[in-house]
Amino acid sequence: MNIRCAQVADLMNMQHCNLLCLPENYQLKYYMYHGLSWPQLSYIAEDDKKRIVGYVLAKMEEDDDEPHGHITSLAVQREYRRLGLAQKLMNQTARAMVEVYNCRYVSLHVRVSNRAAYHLYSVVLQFKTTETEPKYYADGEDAYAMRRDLVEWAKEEGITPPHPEKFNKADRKQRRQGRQIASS
Amino acid sequence: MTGVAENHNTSLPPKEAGLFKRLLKMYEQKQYKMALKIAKQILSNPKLADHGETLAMKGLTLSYMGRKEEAYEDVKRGLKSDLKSYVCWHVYGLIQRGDKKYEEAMKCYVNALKIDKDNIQILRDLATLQVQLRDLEGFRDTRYRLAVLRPSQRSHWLAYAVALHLQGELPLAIKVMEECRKLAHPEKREDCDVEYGEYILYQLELMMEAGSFPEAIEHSLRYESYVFDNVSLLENRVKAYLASGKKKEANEILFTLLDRNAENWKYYQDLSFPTDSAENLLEFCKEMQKSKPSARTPKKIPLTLTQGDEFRILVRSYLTQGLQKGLPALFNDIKLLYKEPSKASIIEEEVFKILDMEKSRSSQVSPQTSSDEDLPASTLLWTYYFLAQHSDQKRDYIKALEYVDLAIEHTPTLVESYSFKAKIYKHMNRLVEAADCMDEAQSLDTSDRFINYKTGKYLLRANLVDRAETILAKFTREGMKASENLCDMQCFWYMIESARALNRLGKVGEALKILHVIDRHFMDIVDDQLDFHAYCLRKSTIRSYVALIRLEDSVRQHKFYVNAAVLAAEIYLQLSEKQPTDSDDDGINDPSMSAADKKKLKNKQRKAKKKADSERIQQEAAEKAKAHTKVKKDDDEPAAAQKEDLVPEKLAKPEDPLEQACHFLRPLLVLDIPHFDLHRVIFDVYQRKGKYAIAVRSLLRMMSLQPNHPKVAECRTVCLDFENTVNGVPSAIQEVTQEALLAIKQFVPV
Repeated sequence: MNIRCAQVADLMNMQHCNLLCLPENYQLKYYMYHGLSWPQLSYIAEDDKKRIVGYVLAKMEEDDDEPHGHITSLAVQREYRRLGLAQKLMNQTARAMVEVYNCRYVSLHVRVSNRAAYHLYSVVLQFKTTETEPKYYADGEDAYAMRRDLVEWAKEEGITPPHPEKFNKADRKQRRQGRQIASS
Repeated sequence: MTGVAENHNTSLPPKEAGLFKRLLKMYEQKQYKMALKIAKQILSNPKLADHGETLAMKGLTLSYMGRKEEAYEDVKRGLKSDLKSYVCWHVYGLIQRGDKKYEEAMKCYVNALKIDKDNIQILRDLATLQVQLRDLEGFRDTRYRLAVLRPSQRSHWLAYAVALHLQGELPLAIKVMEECRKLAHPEKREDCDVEYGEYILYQLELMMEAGSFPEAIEHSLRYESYVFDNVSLLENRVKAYLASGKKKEANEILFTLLDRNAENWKYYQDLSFPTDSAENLLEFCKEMQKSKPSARTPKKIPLTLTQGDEFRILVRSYLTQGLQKGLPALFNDIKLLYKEPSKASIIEEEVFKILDMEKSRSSQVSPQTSSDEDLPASTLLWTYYFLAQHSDQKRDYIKALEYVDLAIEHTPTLVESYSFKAKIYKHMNRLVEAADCMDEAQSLDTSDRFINYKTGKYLLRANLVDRAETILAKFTREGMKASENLCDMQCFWYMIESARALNRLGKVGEALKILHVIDRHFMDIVDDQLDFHAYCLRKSTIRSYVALIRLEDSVRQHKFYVNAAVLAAEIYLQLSEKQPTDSDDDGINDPSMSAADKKKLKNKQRKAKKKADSERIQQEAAEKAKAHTKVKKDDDEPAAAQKEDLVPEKLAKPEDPLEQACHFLRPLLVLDIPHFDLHRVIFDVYQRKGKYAIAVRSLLRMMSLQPNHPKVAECRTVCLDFENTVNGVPSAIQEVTQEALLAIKQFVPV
């Protein structure tokens, strides 16, 4: 499958793919908001006929103490699993988050019942659970809030952030907050 | 963006002037109750009971409190008593903008600016509506005035550059962008932010669009360290190098890009290799396979580059790996190769070899299961599955069913086998069996929405609307009908499938209701832009913004809209055929009428039709003019009418079905969409409406898209009959039509 950065013209087809795969759906305007705010962060996987078979819709959380990346939605159509698409999409996005926004970590939410996704995030992509958010989803299901540290990963992959000093510094305040969140 | 331009010349006595200031403040802080109270206080002074600006502000406040009618009354009264106040005009504009009456709002802003020509707030509001309505010339002029009024604010220059860009004045846009970039240039590299990089990239895109490739290359190199969005920078540089014939340089960049993302097909396509050397794409892919072992693209591309035995070796390993891994998408992944019959037969031979091997192996040992997957990764199972798809592709459905049954027998719990079996039934047009089979697949994994969606779709194809509703409800919000929720969520696949099913069931009104909802969603999508005009300027995401503006101009060419429009037109055509016999409103078939009366009536009708024709032609000319300015709003459907309830019973009995069909088709006439059925319905609708020029143009498109389609011959016959009619219409259209008619006359199907 072809993997590339999502363009504005892809947004409607991403929405379509989302409606086929996931129970959390959004109006097109929300996709536009992503595409027009952080055009570098969302990626798509498409087949030979240019049909979108998987996507990652990502954003920046800019209001938090430390700006960081966030995965709004990730989906791969059932038939296109086992091709490593989710991992490839997520890594492209993570890379852009580091390179463009100096992100030190990326966060997401996952349904506690979604074992396949949890496995992907925790084992394949090295996300850590920071907390359980009760009744996060509209249907009352809890969510795991997860985080992936990007500092070490970027070093291993040789990815250069725009502001290396800020990126590499061990921010104590941030860590303390991280612990607080984890224990709350 | 609800700010009101403040007037410093309010002609109020000191006490009330102070109150008025507080009124503005309360309004800005959204303390509407308080604002309203103050407004009433000012107006309670008998001498000020008609004070224009206070009335305007009171009205505006009321509009935010949902009291629309009173709001309009006050605003209009205020304006009447103070026509010289730009505040009154501005407010009248704001309240209309809130109701999506953009053109009216724009006129108000223009009037306000006649009184206070340099008012920044009003100029900004005007600019927003100008670009929303694609008055691009006006947008450029307003943006220029803003930039000149506030030359130190670079966002104004940025906006002016965008306006020039949209208006096609690229050289000037580049110059303005250069000034803008200079204003934004940070003193130190460390101070640089994403925003500045966006400026540089936007300027680069302008240069690319202007075809100034050497300039673009230089620009992209000089400011490289300030751009953080490396992918965009490098991709643009590749384009610029390729456009200047610098293949070697382009390759270097492409290698860098491929190192980041080895799955981007475009990067491989853009590589160039000298013909006289051993270096070629195939060799390159082999290298990539080594350096990026997890990438699939460098393994796949060689399958398209090779033939014969070389292909056989490659495809054998590709298939073996895929089947061993149990990739459900393996067949789809290589389906394109089937276009070459020789490759299709090699694939078949190789899969049969694998099948024989696996069969003999499975008779010896128990099926292998891989440790890291939930499903048993049996090669034999996936080989059966692949062969089912392969046979289906060859339209050997009996064989396909045999193989898929073998797969089910092997592993009765694999969802994919059932869902593909359903697909075979669908291809055999056994739609109920397909739906039942899909339902069975769904029952094996009720937590997967994709399977749920497919089940819903297949049930709708089989006209089992109620069952579809029940199944789909498993993934929609509780306490609400699934169909309603899916329509609300802009779930277009569902809306189209469901409208088709309802139409087949004869529930025409319900089908039309859904189609109108689709149309409204597209109106909303066009409307969605409004907030982004100011937002993107603040965010400096100009490249995406321009892409959005361009996309919105042709957003209805998306298959979701086109499919809806085609179906709507088909339904309205049916209704227009039925109408005369249903209602007998033309009276021609009335047996009680004498022959003479009938003749009189016919004459009368002919005259009426002639008059209507000439009106239509005028309208058509107006439409053409509109198409030029690319104003996408439908005049005959003001925003207020949008809110009208869609009642199926009413929709099924339209007063003017053909006009309703045109409502769906009109936005598509200005877009050149290669869709046969679309042009078929355009022809049918517009020739009935007597708009021959449009009908003929669509026939010409049909001739180029599917020359052998029986409908083409049918339409040609209808069309050649036009000649008699065409003489009655103005020469401008006649010319177009005559020329086209000649092409149609001389057309020979291939």
